[in-house]
Amino acid sequence: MARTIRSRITATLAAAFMVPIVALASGQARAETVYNIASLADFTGPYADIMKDQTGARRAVVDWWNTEVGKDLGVRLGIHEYDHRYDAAQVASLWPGIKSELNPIAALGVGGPDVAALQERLPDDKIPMIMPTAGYGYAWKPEPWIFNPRATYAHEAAAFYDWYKKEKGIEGPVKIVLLTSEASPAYVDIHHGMEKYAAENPDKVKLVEAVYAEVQPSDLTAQFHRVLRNDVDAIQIQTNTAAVVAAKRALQALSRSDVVLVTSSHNGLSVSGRAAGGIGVFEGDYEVYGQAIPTEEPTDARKFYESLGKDHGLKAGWNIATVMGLNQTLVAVRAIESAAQEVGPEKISGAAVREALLSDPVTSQETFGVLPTLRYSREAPFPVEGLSVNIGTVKNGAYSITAEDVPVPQVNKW
Amino acid sequence: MYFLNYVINGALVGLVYALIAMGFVVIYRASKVFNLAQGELVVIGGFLVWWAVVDLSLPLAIGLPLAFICAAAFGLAIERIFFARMAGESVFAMVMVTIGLMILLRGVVLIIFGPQAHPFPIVFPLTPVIIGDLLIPKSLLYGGGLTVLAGCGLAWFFSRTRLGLRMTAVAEDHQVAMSLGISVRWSVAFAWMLGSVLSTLGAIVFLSGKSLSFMTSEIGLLALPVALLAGLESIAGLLLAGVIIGVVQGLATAYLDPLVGGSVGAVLPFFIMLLILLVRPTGMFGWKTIERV
Amino acid sequence: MDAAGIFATNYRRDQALVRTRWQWLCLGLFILGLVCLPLLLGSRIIAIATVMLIYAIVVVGLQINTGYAGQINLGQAAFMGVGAYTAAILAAKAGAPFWLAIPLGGVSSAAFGFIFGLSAARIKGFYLALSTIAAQFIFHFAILNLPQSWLGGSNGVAVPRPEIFGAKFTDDSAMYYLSLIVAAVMICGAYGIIRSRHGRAFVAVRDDDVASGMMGINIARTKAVAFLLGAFYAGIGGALWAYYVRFIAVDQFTLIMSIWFIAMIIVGGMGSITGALVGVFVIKAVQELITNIGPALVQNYPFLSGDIVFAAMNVFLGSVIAAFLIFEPRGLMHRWNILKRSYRLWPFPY
Repeated sequence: MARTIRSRITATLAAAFMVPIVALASGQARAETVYNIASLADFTGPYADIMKDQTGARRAVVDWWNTEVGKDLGVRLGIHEYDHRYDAAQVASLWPGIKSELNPIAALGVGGPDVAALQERLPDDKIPMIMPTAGYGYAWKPEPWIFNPRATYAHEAAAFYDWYKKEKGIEGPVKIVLLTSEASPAYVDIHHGMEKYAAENPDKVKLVEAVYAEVQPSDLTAQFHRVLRNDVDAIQIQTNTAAVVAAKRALQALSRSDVVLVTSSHNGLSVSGRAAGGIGVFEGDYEVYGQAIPTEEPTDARKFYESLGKDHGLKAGWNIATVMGLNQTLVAVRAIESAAQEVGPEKISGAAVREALLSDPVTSQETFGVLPTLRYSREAPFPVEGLSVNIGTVKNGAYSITAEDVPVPQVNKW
Repeated sequence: MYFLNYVINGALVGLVYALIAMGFVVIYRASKVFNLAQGELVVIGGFLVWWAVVDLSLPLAIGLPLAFICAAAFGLAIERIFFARMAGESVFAMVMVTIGLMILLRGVVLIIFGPQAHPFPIVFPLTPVIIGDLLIPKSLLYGGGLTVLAGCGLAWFFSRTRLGLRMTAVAEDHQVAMSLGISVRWSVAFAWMLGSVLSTLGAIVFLSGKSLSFMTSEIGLLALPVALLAGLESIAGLLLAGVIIGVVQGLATAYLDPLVGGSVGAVLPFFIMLLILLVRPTGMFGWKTIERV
Repeated sequence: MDAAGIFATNYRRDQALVRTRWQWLCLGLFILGLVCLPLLLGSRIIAIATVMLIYAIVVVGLQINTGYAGQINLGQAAFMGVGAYTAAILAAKAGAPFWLAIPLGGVSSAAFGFIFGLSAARIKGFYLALSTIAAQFIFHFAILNLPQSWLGGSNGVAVPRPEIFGAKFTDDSAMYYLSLIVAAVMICGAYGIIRSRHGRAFVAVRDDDVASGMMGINIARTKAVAFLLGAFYAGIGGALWAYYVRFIAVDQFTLIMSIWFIAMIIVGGMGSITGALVGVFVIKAVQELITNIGPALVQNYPFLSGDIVFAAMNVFLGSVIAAFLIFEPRGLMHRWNILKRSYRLWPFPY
């Protein structure tokens, strides 16, 4: 009896010792190091309605990369979402917890509050953050730890004007009016950018006037009547949809169909169309931004999106929010891929990811045409050269891409 | 010539502010409540119109009256739920309840309608009236006309009809009115219903053809300087005050904004409001002068 | 009221805040707990606690101004912003150390507060609320339109880390201790102020300013001093905020923030410093709770989309304010006092 018990105890102890050894062995047989990405999101704030699509896209891209690329490299990425309500205070209060719990090698941001709260902390914490939006003039500083896959709104608009000048054969500068608002410093920043660009390139763009309106403008007809007395080709609105709708109504009231509207991604033609009762209202107007335009046309980006939907559980629709989620995550995973090749899959750190981003360009093929080829440098959070934009419009009532890969001109810092 | 254009357009925009301020003043007159949530009432009125005309696809002739009736019911509900219990409380408590109401209504709007912008039906034709170099949008013109009509109508109502005089008595002093046999509860309820309907009318004039979202409530804050300048009890005075503030804002936007490179026109009404508060808190046509200071 | 058997034999004992040895013990343990917080709990809690301490300073100032002196102040966030910008400019451009920048932030904010206080002598109630709302908007406009080299304009101001004797604060718990020390000093000061003749003057002016004027209190000066103090606290809180977030922009100090501050004193109980602290804790804790369970709720109950949680927070705040004002205008402190009284009197009913 005792012997049986003793042998049973020995067997149990031996098994107890075997388990961790086997686990270690099997771990080594898998040979995958796990790293984490922090996904900052706004689930309970003003942009909550688009966040599901954006975070869904992020997850799908990470899943795709783990299966297609990470497995061969021996790297597995985990992604974890944190809700910050689009509030800088909340980001500042969440960040220490994120650092200690998750120990991420990269972070994916949402907008202004992330930049505001983390701008000073990331260089010390050595974690790079990739944003989905266009850059801001006030964040244009050297030695970036926050990266934008697009240039600033001023850059994107400048690219449009270059294209538009050629397209319409305009002699002399394109004359524009900028409709902006003081509701947010970011909007005022766009004005400063355009002012500087127009001052330095008087042959390309002439900023006739910057019209300031409220977030929900009461009536723009009088202002436009005054401003459009001058010869104006385009009105640039990169603030919000209410301004776009009000501007269009004012143009309709003044019967000025010769003036076109130029919008950006977050207040683009599809979402402004929903606010105005139909995208047909914006027939002949344009939107410009440096990422794929989500129309029904079968572009490379669209095919990638569909494959994510089929194989990696992406349920989001094909819209701007999804594209934004795709663009930042693709940049992040390609940077991690490059870092893994540089320092080896076991030694990837935030600093290594950043170095990879700064030294290795992310080509347009690597991002399936969602973004142009990105060559980051130490001067700015976005590539200062070599970027291009896509231009969308509404033609015969249908949302369509009218120009792709229009190069972005040089805009100096303001 | 353009100067005249700015003046006229500014005056008409000011009349829109006056229309919204009218709701505020009517509520204040009867119940002594400073309704800081007036902007939210405008938004709710706007969404009621959207729901009736766009969501249910009713024709304007049926949708608009339906929206008005719902708005009146809504105003009544708010008065019953919140302010019936607050009768006689301190000014601070009332102000804070309206602030709480403002936030609550914003949350309700967000839950029911979501944060995105919705298209608002085109109630007034889009083509403007053009007389030579003058250009006046029809919505502003008709809206201005409606405001003047409403203002004069309400002024006549409150000072010449029996019902209106009863409400004026309630506005002067609740206790005295009760002792004379006037139903204070009914007057206050009616004032809230009227205020809500006026807000809906304001939404229609302000938003015709444009888009509507929860951020539209900011216009409620612009109605405050107009109400203050008129003196919080005078309805006819609102018309004049609205015109003054609208003209000043319009001229500032036209001439000062390009100079400063910023949005002077948006902030100027608040400067004016501060000035009024410091110099003459009773405004132009306010009633008693003792209690303010 | 005191428990049975506790009575004061001199005026000092009667006036004391901490009245029994048992209360001293509790206070000591509480402070010990606060000091040891970073050692015991994770960095997430430290961050929340730091924000609570900063808000506590601002809300205590608001309590002095609105709860004790009765001056409605809907611009506390703007005063906080003035303090934050002052400290940020001093730290970033003039290289001032934090122990100079923070008090100067408070002083500059106090100066603005004093100017508003002077106008408070002329207008009261709702009109004062309106002028403070106007202050919010004018603050926003001023920051964005003054030359960028002065106040950063649309660029905001980046703040360097605070350093003491050359050693930089690299840790978040260092910021927590800084906030804790400053908050402790300011709150002790607040208790001292309200127990002094100034505090009594505030309460007199709140209850009936005409009568207090007839008793010899200088109404205008009292109101101006109330605003000065409220703004001073807001400025100190704002300066600490600047060091905490390390990048300030004008959209961090909005009207909605001022309204949250007022909600905190309503919930906690107006007219009580402890009430202000309770209000800050309760409101911030509920905010954090909703933020934490929000995503989980959204995932488990898909019909509740994310924007409903945001809207629900608004609904929660609005209904909390309205409900407290309608049903319990004296806030949680009043409920607590009733509870204390009932258990001290037990088994007697009154």
